[in-house]
Amino acid sequence: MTDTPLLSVRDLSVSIRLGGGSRMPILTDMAFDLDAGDTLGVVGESGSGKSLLALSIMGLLPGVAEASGTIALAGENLLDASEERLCSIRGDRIGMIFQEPMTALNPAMTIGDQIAEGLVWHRGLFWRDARAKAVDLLDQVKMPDARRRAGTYPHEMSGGQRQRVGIAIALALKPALLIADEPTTALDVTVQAEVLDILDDLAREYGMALLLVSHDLGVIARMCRRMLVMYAGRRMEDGETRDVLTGPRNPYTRGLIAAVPKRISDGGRLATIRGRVPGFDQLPPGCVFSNRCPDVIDACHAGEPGWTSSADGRGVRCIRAEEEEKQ
Amino acid sequence: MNTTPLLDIRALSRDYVSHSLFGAPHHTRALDEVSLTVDAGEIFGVVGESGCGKSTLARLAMALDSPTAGHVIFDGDDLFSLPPRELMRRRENFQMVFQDPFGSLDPRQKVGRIVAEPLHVLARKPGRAEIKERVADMLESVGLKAEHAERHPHEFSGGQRQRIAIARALITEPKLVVADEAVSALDLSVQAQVLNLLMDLRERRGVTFLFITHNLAVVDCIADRVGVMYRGRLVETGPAHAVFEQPLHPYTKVLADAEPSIERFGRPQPSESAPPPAPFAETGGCAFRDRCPLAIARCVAERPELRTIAPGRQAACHRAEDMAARPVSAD
Amino acid sequence: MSAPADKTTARPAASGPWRLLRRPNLTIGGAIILVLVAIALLSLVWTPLPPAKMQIIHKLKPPLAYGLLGTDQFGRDIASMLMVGAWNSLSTAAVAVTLGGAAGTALGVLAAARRGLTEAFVMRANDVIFAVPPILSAMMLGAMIGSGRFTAIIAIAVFMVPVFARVTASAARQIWARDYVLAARGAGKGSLLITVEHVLPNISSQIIVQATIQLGLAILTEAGLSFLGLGMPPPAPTWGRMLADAQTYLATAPWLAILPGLAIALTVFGFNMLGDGLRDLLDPREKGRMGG
Repeated sequence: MTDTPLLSVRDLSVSIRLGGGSRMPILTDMAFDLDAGDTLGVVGESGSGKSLLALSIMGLLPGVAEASGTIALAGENLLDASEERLCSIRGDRIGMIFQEPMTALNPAMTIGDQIAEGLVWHRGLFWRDARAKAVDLLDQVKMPDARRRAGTYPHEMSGGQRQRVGIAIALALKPALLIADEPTTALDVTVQAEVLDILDDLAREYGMALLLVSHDLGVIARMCRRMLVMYAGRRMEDGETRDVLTGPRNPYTRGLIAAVPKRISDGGRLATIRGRVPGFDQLPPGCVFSNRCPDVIDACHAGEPGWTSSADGRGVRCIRAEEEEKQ
Repeated sequence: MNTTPLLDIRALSRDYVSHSLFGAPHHTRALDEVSLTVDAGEIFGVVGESGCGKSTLARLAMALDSPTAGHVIFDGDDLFSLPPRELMRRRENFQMVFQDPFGSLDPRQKVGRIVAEPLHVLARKPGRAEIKERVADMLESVGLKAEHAERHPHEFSGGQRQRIAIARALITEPKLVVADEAVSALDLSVQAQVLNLLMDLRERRGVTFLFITHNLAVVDCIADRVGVMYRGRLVETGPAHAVFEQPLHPYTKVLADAEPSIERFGRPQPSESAPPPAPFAETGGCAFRDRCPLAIARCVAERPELRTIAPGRQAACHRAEDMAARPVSAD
Repeated sequence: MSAPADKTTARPAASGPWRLLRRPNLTIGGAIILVLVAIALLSLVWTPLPPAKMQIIHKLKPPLAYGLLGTDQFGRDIASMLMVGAWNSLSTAAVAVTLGGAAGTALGVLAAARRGLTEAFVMRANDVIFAVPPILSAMMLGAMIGSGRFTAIIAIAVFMVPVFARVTASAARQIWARDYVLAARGAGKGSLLITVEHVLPNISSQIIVQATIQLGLAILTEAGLSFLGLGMPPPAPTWGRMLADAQTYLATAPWLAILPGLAIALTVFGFNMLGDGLRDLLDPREKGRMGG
């Protein structure tokens, strides 16, 4: 592990161009570091902007999106890179795994070829050698009967198997950074456990950094050393996963944790966060969570709180949390 | 007090036959002699992974599909031996909430019309004004507003649409509501709100729920009793908390261990090694034996039947007693 | 099961009339058809000259020399003939598509509702009808009941049936798989009620798009039929027959062929563009994005 982080995001803001020249900001003041070989979980509900964050890092923002700030991969700002440069980085230095294994795979190519493709294009291997490596990779993702399977098509496989193929494709070039956007959400619980184990093993073996985006706190707890909580396009809290989940400092994080279904005794109810996630054009004044926060005070409406980092490696965006820290 | 159960499912089986151009037709057993009972006022959870047959079970319980064998006795009536007209009248008493809040509401209809649809089964059709009133009443019970009846589904969020679906399921004041993955597609905070709503409805209106899900934490939260399904069979039943704290069937333990929890950090230590799942072989014996850490010779030869291991607890496993003897799990 | 949708890839909403510029297909196609329909309707009450009026002394005059678009070999005003031809083509096509569309849609939703044998039967019947081109069936019909407008309409309509049946059956099948249909069955509703209340409204946009495209095809087919003499009998002007009559004068008076040919081409083009534009507009995914 070196001193400079592998991935360093600073002042990242992404807005969407609307008709008539106006802009709707989605991501605001996003920043975090990810060291080589480390794991970071990005947690948020729908409308938090977490998928847009993943897309920004991959350089796959839609045409109507405008990004500003820095996304530095080993010192190189990806936001300044040309499409050509991004193409060479994608797959080679950044691997990606998406949620829906069925739509992420080409139905007209055998899975062996899809894995081999990256090796041919980025590493200049001959197809024969690349296909041999593909079988190897299928073994590594614990695909039974790998040699035969390499010649089969995505529709002949189950969801869990397809996701393993997705992992094999992402890992083929041994990228330094792996971005997984809800990789196991569409999978059964036991299949999810297996796929997460495989991901964990391989990431460790190859020394890859993992950026895992998910709405599932349990998955984050299992896979990620550090976590970042997002709400309405902002970071609300970050820190080591264990610390954040056992001692959350931001009221939104507390609300999320309380909402996780669990057994409640004596006819009680789950604690909920009142209200709904606001649309990006309907954010309340001041802190974006102020209209739903159980700990809100007048000062919360005055202006958006800034991000405060503390010495214990934790950060939070909340004036109430800042007060508590001082005490 | 020993009353007749509200829902009595007896040896329900459902086969699907797929015909191919060449060769013999292929039979799939989606449900294999499933029997369970649900008492009035309770919430019975059914958990399992994809392919376990829980959705098939839901459809059969709602008489939206016909079984290959077995009976569904609802409130004393054998649903599948009723004449069609009678069955339709009975539908007033059981309704369903579906998983997909975006697909379960007709995008072309107004919410009011959607919610009022089940009133079609009533023998005496209420008049316009009464329908409007009932719809408004129901929308407010689920936390929406009466004027929402004039809007279309796409104007609402996922959580609100699920509330609309719940309102629709309740408009005829049914005794039983089958919820098929009703909260699975919702965000965490929205899910909590909807789960609370369901628990409120059970308390205020005495609605019985058959709650189908793949999420153990949800079932542990909301259900009184739970049934675990695997490959079309019911493999364990019992009070929800007991079943997860001390499973009597190895599959239940595998499920419970596999589900990530925010109280467990990092890689879970495998409690026992289970071999990777082999392709499904329909050659007798227990369907779980290929993945079971406790499998013995008997498991290959003889298929275990669901039997009572302790009061209120049943399991379909030859080694259930050994499972019962294990120490209670840490969480 | 899938994670809740992350609506962060918002598409900017266009406002007002500028929205039309984003959809060139719809605008151009719509404009062409609008003009066409206007001309056709106008022809019912006014044409520059009576189209059947023969003025031999003014025969074969090029455009603008006499009348806006010239005259044919009998001295008839081409502009007027084109206008009335527009009405004839459009009305024939419209009636044929309506009849064929209605029958085809009915068969399609029936097949989707019943599945099994009914579906198989309908689909195979479709294939049989498809196998017989409209020109051929028009000729057979013509031999049986005499050619003319009625024959043309029936021949075209019959050919429309399988197209609509196929499209509606496939669209309807998708609707039948939706949960809200299952909910309707749970509400005790039968197939007919579900078809009327849920299936038809939800496939209506696909039917409209298909109808628009078929109108273009119908116009083309009608022109072909009248070119072969199987359409409306003279003296009713039809674009097809104008083309047929123009063949002998291709060298000396090319505008006799070019003008009706252009009219046909433009009309079909217009309908196709309109159909494409409507399809893009009514695609539910598009609708979701625009609606936010």
